[in-house]
Amino acid sequence: MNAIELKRVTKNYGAFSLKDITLSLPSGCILGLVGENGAGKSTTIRLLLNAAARDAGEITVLGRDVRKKEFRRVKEQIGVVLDEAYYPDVLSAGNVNLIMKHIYRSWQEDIFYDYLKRFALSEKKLFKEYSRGMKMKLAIAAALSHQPKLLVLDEATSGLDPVIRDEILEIFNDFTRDEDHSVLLSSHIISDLEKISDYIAYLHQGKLVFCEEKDRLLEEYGILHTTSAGLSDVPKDAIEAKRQGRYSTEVLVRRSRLSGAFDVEPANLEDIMLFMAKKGE
Amino acid sequence: MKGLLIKDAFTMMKETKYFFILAVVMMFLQNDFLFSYIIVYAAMLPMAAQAYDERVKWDKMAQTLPLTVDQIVGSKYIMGYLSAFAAVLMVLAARLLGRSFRAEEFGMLLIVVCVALVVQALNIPLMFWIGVERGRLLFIILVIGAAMAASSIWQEAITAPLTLNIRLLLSAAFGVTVIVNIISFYLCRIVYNRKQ
Repeated sequence: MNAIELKRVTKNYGAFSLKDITLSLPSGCILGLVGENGAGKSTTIRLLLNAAARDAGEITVLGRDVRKKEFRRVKEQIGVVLDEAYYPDVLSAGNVNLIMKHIYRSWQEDIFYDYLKRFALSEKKLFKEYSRGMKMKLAIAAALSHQPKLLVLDEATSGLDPVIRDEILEIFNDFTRDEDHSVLLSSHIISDLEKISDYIAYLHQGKLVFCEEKDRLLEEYGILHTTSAGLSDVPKDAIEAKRQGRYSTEVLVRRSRLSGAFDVEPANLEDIMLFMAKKGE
Repeated sequence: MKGLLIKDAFTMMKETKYFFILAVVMMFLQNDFLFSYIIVYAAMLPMAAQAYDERVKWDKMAQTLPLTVDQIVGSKYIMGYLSAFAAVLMVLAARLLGRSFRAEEFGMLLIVVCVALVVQALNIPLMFWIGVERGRLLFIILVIGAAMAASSIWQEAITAPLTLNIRLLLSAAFGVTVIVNIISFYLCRIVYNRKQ
């Protein structure tokens, strides 16, 4: 089963629109949603949480159409961490527990307090006195304390130092050890996504450029350095995108369509994305 | 919804302190305008809570929680009703302690509550529509207007209680309050859904 499924989803905001997005996240996997600022990552997340109404297409999360009334029950099983922890400043972690206990039916106080302990978060300290890292940890503790099957993380690691980021990514990784658990992680920090994602979806200017298995992407794509003249020797169907310089040409190629005669360098996710974005333009 | 009310109670703790100070002052002053003001002010607490929510962008968070629009919007109305009820109890206590309470005043007290709740019903859809920050001036005018209206009704009742049919006035005020609040709630749901 897919934890998330979007089929031909469109949302128009006038100045910005999300066009014809089709992607899925299989259960038990981590999908990295990547794209530049304003590419449509947060809009996609808002749509799949039914926080915004789509104009066209279908969206199902944990097997339910997000527009259906019963989706509210499904939300019990979704842990969400946004780019900021939007809790009132005057709350303490203890207050958050009391509030969430009355919002989530499946809230587990003991698990929440275990996370507070694990993250070294004071129960009584006010939210405004927390550092950014602590605030995000509190949001993550809350997202994990109501038996979620799906974690939706919108830029949850941005603005954090590498040590904390690594610690948090490890928690997300642990979460998917249960095959019913899935994670959608939106970020523009490609190294984070490269580290933990099973699938990568790349959004660029409101369009989905690709949604592929990460390992397949890295195996399939490579970079070939050649000259303008040498380019004619490269089979056309192997060329995905190219970057023309004054003296040389860099080509993003599909390895499966090339013979072993070409010296192809491995491409990382960033390379693939940059080439693809250029191609789209 | 209980969770949202608890959240608002925590965030409004400071405001509530101010509320209790006013109640103590009221006990000493026995001022009619102050009595009306405190009830209207109590019914305006949802606005303060919403302003706080806007500041910390709580709505972003709320949309991710298993809450319905009715619960998100409804919690603000319930908060206003509970605060107005608490204010009435405080005014009654102040009046009784000051030994200045007359039986017919109780009806008028309820009319003041109705005025406050009608103003709340006008305010809540507006605050969801244009936001508390942008609508601040409009809200202040509404609150002062309501406090003055409530106070003059009160004065009228005290000075010439026999010329008014209190029971009829109370029934009419109650009916109008219920109808305006129901319309307001549905309007607010539409506004909230549109804003999505």
